Amino acid sequence: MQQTAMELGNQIRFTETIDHKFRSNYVCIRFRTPRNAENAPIHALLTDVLTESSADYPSRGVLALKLDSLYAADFSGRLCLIGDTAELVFTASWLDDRYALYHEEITREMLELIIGCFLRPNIQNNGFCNPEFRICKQNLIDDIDCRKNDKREYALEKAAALAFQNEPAAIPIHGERHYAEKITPQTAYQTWQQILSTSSVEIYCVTPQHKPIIRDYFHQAFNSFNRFPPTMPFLAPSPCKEISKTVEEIMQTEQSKLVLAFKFNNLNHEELVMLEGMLSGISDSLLFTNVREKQQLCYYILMHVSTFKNTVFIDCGIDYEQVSTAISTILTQFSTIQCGLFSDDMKEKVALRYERLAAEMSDSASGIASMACTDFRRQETRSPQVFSQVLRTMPRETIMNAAKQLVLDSVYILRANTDSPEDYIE
Amino acid sequence: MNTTCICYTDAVTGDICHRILHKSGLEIRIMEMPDFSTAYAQFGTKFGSYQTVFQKTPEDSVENVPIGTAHFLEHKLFEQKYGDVSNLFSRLGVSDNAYTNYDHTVYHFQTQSNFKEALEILLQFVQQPCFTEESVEQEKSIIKQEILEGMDDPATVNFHQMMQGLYHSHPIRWPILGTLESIRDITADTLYQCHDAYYNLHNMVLCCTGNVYKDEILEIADRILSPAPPFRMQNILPDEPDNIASAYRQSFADIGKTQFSIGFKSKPAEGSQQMRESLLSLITADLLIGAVSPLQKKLLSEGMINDTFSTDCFIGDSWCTIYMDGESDHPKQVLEEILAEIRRMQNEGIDEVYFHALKCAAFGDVVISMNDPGTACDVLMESYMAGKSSPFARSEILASIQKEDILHCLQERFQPEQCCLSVIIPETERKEFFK
Repeated sequence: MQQTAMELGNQIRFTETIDHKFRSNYVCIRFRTPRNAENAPIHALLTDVLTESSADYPSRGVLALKLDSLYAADFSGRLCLIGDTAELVFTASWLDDRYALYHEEITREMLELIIGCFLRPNIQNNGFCNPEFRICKQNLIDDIDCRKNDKREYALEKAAALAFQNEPAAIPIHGERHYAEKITPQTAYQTWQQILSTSSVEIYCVTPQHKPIIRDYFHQAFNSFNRFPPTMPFLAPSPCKEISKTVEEIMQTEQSKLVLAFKFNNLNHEELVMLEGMLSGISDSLLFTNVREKQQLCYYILMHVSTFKNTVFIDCGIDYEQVSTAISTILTQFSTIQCGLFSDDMKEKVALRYERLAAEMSDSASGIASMACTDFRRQETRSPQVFSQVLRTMPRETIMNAAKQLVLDSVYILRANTDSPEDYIE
Repeated sequence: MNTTCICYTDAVTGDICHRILHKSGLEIRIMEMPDFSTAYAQFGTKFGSYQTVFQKTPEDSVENVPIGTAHFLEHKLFEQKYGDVSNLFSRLGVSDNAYTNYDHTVYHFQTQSNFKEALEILLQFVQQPCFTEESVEQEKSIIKQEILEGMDDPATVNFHQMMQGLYHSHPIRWPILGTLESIRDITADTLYQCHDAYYNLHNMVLCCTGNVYKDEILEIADRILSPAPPFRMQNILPDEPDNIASAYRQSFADIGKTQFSIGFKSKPAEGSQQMRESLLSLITADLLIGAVSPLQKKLLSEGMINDTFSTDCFIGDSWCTIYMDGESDHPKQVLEEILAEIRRMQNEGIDEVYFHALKCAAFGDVVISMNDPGTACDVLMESYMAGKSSPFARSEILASIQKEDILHCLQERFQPEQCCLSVIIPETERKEFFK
């Protein structure tokens, strides 16, 4: 595996990885931009509308037909939160040219298609064309309305809103309905033009052979207009509340959800990996063993790290009557680490888990691109082998002190109301 | 019985798969992928949630077990005399898990080190049940939470509601996890009984892919596996009429927009024909209302569906359901449009361009899926469960599908009178609905 990184322009970073074992090519393009309540739904809409049509392929049906005929090639978009900024992430993958049954130049056709969607969208009157725009807007509004369909994701989103009050990260990922309703084809297109010229751009490409054509296409495309991106830090630490806050919401569900948010001042990557592994990553983690297996309080319990917000969340689905028992058991596991009541065996398991996860990432093109991206953002230059050695040799005091940094910020409870009226009709 | 090995080669990619009929009775499928760092193993048995009535041999009495038993057994097998088997895997840096389906259960792990040690643990623990009445009782609280989580998932609820509309008595109409009531009746004896009946090596498969070596796997199999007794199990199913139980099912939930599922019930395919029928049904459903179809374009433009819409085929040895689901304020109209499009396609035939594109897409999927050790392991397992000798059967089937097959599939598997519409309506619309 060979990896090279270069600047293609002002804050446009291009990273190419060559790995002969793959039969397909993969490209991930990340546009990072500031977010607020008004532009959040526009960002979400753009990830949809830009991957559904272009001037070359004016409807989603025509574009889908092209992708299918290129042997199930894929081009799609999604929205991510990085600290307090939004990131519009577009990914494309396609079969390597050598497998084409009819000698098509799949790579060239896909690059034309991607660049066409970005730079030659389907435009009329300085706005995105209908019906594609209308369909995407309706998708977005339905998506916002249906946030509560997935109770677990809903609880996590509400917990983030509580933990990050008055910060951009508190805004739901797809924004609020009333702002979504206001989006016009013109405002969406203007926002896209602005993103093209002001966002920080990272392009990650993983191919089975060196393909300069990919770099050349992006270089030419992104240098065809002026760019003046501001500096945007990744890190946006969220201050911890002086007194932790608890919010309870009632919903007609069968199971209650509990999410705890903890904040920290300064934990490095290895300390976070160690805490996440010990608390919920390894098979016999403290939370799994003590909350699920010993007390049978839940089916799942996991820790999620919001790296650039200096926050971690722990979520589980439980009976409402068991909420206080669950909270106290979870806090006990934190104390266990703070007091050093863990075996060295756990450190070894966390290190082995890290090595396995790194190997899994290196076995997929998207994993390699994702690893390159996180390494760049953390300025991580250590190999997975070196990093896992750091985990193995981490002093117990370091782990204990790292756990002491985690302070409870807030608790969100989605309380199940199971009193439902007769609701079945055949 | 001696161990025999058959080698299959994919004509397009050159991938090689070894199919070994081991002297113990176990079938082993191996794909060596030395360029990859990780290794995958899956140990599966043809025992899933629909097998609730069975006879171990014709001489034995008929046994009835509660729904959800296969899934419960999957949970409990991880318990061993020395504790949870996952702790052993964890010490090796191995990630382990299991899943239960309607007609099979699979225990699996993935690793980048200690593959041989992990494989030994896998082969041993799945064959050695070791649980007590007390631990079975304790597990019920955990499984109860898993069931409750599913009951809050509208897609899961709607799927079961649709299956209950399609099937009168076939156990496929029940959730894999069982119900809060059914799991109460599960005992340690129930689980031992099912293990004894179905976890027979003649009824099982081991699939290994990635950074693995055939000779190493065979050495472990030779050392650990003992010959299994003959497998003479009979699954007993209630009589299931050809017609559907009801054409419309409905319930309410705290959700944001009406969710619908449209299912077409048709005759199950014979053994090894299942994979062909499944691929054919998927391509037919895509031509009918997939992303490239004129109907999807129309329904999206009119706001009748949104981008949550999807199609799938659910097939087994005694059932076949092709279904579509999504969100819509007008699910009945969506169904009418689909039925009208079926008639149009039957009259006007299949569009050559769309058909060609979908076949190209299916070909691309096949080539790419075998380039990932995890997915390749799934494909090996899927081909065994579908009764296919060759793991590369998908490519051969795809190449053989013609437009006439699509028309035949439309005729046989998309019959209007065999269709059930299932909807879940938001609670907020309940009052309006009953006005």
